[in-house]
Amino acid sequence: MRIPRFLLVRLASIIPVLVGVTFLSFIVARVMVPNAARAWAGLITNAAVIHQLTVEYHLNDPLWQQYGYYMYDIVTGNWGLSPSTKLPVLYEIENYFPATVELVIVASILSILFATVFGVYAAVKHDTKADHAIRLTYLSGIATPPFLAALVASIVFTHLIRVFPSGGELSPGLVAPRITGMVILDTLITGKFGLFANALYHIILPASVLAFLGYGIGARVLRASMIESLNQDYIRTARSKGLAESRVIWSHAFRNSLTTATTVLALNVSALLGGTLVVEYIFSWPGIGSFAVNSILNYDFPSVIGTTLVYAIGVVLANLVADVLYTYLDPRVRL
Amino acid sequence: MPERPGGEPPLIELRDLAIHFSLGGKTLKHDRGKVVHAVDGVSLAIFSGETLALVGESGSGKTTLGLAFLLLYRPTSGSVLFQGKDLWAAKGKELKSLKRYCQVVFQDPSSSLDPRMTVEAIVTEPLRAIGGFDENHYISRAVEILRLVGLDSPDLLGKYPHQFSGGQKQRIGIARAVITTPKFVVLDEPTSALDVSVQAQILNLLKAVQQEYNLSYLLITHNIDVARYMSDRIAVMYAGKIVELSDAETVIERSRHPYTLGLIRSVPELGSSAPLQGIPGDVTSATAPPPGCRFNPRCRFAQDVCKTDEPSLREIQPGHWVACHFAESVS
Amino acid sequence: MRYLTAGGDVKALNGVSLEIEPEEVVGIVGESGSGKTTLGLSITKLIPSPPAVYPGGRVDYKGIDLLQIPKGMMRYIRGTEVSMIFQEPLTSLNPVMSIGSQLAEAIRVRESRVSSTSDPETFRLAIQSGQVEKLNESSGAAGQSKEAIVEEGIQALKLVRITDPERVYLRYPHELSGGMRQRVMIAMALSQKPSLLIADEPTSALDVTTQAEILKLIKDLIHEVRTSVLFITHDLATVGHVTDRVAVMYAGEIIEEAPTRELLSNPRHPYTQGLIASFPSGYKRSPAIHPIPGMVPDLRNLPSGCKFHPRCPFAFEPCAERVPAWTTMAEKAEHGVACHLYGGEGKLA
Repeated sequence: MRIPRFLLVRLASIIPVLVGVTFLSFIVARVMVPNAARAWAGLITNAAVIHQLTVEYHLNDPLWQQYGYYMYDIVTGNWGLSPSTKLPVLYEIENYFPATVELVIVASILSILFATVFGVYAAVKHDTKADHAIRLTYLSGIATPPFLAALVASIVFTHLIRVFPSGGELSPGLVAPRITGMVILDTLITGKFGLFANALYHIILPASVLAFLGYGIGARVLRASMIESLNQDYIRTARSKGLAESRVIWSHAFRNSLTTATTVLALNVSALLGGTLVVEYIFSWPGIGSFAVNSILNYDFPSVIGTTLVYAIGVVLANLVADVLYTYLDPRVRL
Repeated sequence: MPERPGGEPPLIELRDLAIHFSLGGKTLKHDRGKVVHAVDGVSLAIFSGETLALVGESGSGKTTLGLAFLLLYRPTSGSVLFQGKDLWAAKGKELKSLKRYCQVVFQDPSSSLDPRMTVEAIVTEPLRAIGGFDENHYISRAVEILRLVGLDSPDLLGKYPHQFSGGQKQRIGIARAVITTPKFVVLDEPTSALDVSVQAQILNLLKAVQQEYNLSYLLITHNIDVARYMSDRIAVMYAGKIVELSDAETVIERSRHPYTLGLIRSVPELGSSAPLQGIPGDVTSATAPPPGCRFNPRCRFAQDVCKTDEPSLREIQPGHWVACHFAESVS
Repeated sequence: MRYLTAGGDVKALNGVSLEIEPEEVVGIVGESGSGKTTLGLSITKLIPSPPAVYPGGRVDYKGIDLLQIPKGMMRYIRGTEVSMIFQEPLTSLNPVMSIGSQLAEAIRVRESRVSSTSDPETFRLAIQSGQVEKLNESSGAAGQSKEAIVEEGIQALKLVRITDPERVYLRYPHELSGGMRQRVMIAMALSQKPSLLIADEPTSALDVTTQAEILKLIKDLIHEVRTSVLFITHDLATVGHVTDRVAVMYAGEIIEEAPTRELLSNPRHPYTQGLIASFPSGYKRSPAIHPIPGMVPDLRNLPSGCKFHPRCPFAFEPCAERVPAWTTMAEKAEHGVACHLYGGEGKLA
């Protein structure tokens, strides 16, 4: 069986990546906050508290020893206690995780949809005015700093034109049943359609902003790939068979561009993950992004490292999915 | 292997050459472990001043074999000898001086000429690689050679390949090949990418150049007619081995290998509407050649021995070598 | 059926007239830059139309001018009326679709339509009135079950003499040899039951032995399937084995046309003669072959008068000034040539 072996190899390659990521986060965290114990102890404190924290978090031990403790903990699932909230980091992450997943999924769907529609259309109409106009949007998406995009969207759509709510998963006062933690899914499963609609209404703006930030990459690659596909001989054959143009574009050209497109779309997801930090924070979305921002502001390294790890795993998984899809989509690679 | 009647040693020769490529990347390709037997145990000699054509279809290994003469492929076993010296054993200066005598003209002039180099740069490059001349010499040699190949316009040297037609580009390729006054030139399908009328011009040019410099040619081609027109001897290749070797007329008019016969009969003849006869079946798999004679699955004359014993190349008549158990009865 | 075509911006085709009768095989021979491929692609307008322009002429197919019909209608001509096979079977087949699905696609197109052979009346009415919808035969497509389509695909593969068609049906193009791929292309084209098959250099990319097999196949199939064929090639030698009539093209024009055997044994136009003389074939070791000097003209900058005159060994005064008129030979009316040497009555002037 070909696929499982290949999967194992890819899964194994995750480990070096994660080791690298944790190491880097560890170093960065230590470098950025020279006096961690003091920061954690809070404003009103005394030497005894600081001392206790120092001992507890091994802050005075040689760096390599600290790294040792840290890695051991991570691997055994003890991701530490957040010094600011006093709760286990892993617990916090589990708490906030679903909201981010939900947001990223919706944003990915939107991003893929936009990339596909605008990429293919631009390719079919390439070198026309429509094409040039569309390409401008790719660039604006990629070039806009996330915080700017989020802020502008927030101001315009929640303040100036009050179309969307300014934040949160649900309007204040509403509570959703908690099964998976993903509000949209939970309300759908339990049949609370009123809440479902409300949740949708809340997710659309932040998801769209996220989608907008990333879609340009995928769209541009898809466009280039489609233009190349459309120039191939088999397209001429397809037309000579008398097929409808839509079939030629989708079943023939697009099918061939899918392989390049999927790799890019996976990379897109990675870009999306990065954008969640800012977008969640600005839209008060209770996900890991907000949690990460708050942890950074509080010099809470265990949490920061924990969230970095989660993002790293996310990116790696996205790439893994892309690789598997790639093999599935292109028979030449498979065989 | 052959010596010329008269005992003259070959100019360049291959002895028991084998070139195998192993397939399969490091991870997951399913071809891993398979070996492509591109060339298998071939000995071939070329004498000075002669043209030997290497004829075969795709998958025969002719290109690999032909380029092996120029050390462009590392042999898995066997040797390449130029004037008796083993080229793979030669080093540094000696190798360099030997290399100037062996040149090549490639098939597709559009891809074998660097589009970012001027004609002057392209044509003088081999000469510059030898070194030891001053700038004027390079330029004057370039002009002289280009005139020889029929290119003579004033700002020729400063132009770029894309400004020329296919035929003209091939002339530039030929100029590049002969500027170092080589003794041996490999012609890898030199006219396959050209129109028929241009092909004729180029073939005639190649003949003229050969006369001028007393060159030996190894002509790699799939076109029997071109081989007939250009060469003294023809070697027919199939699945990495030479199956028939003799002078041109004998190979074509009195072929003794079933494959050669099938090949000759497949060529459409101008002015005849006689039914063509192809050879049924597909070319032998390069990774898993059948046991015994590699042509046996497609051979009309195949007998049991053909499936088990691989025939070696033997001289059925002076100067006529065939690798077939039943060569005498084939016709 | 008749075809008259003309025009092109880079003057690819300059007043070409050709007729193809039902069940006839006509060959077009030319080198690169002669316009032969453009001719083949123009019949069903497979060349994208902003660069391609047709300033004049008609392409008359069973009474319809293909140059004038709207784009939506051309789709109905492609495949079921006029179908094509191309030179490079590897790139002409979709690499990510199985052979079977590409075949099935072609068959479904045919099933879902009215063609001039399946229902001539409706066909003519629909084209004349411009009502494209009439050409849709939804009952056809619904009527064909998936199994029936697969079965038909396998039959088509059998027709082109592929051994083990069931297995090939499931394969992908890169898994087959060049010869097999070309057979698949032929199967696909013929499964749509066209009235005209245009073959654009179908064997040029194949080995000689494979070429021989494919040419044999085409010749046999023509008798079985009764489609007309337009066989485009640069190889005069192959033409002799397949076609009934041959037209020779140069710089966008047809300069000579005759029944095949006649053309090859009695070529009249100096270009045709030169072309034949350039072939190192015939196994006769001629002391030299005589190539035509010079090069094919740049289609943006064509010579005046007869476009061949700068390279012609027989050129005289009218050649640079006037385009020669088409004359037919006195002895053989089917043999026509465009050359001043032959004056008006088809005699050497």
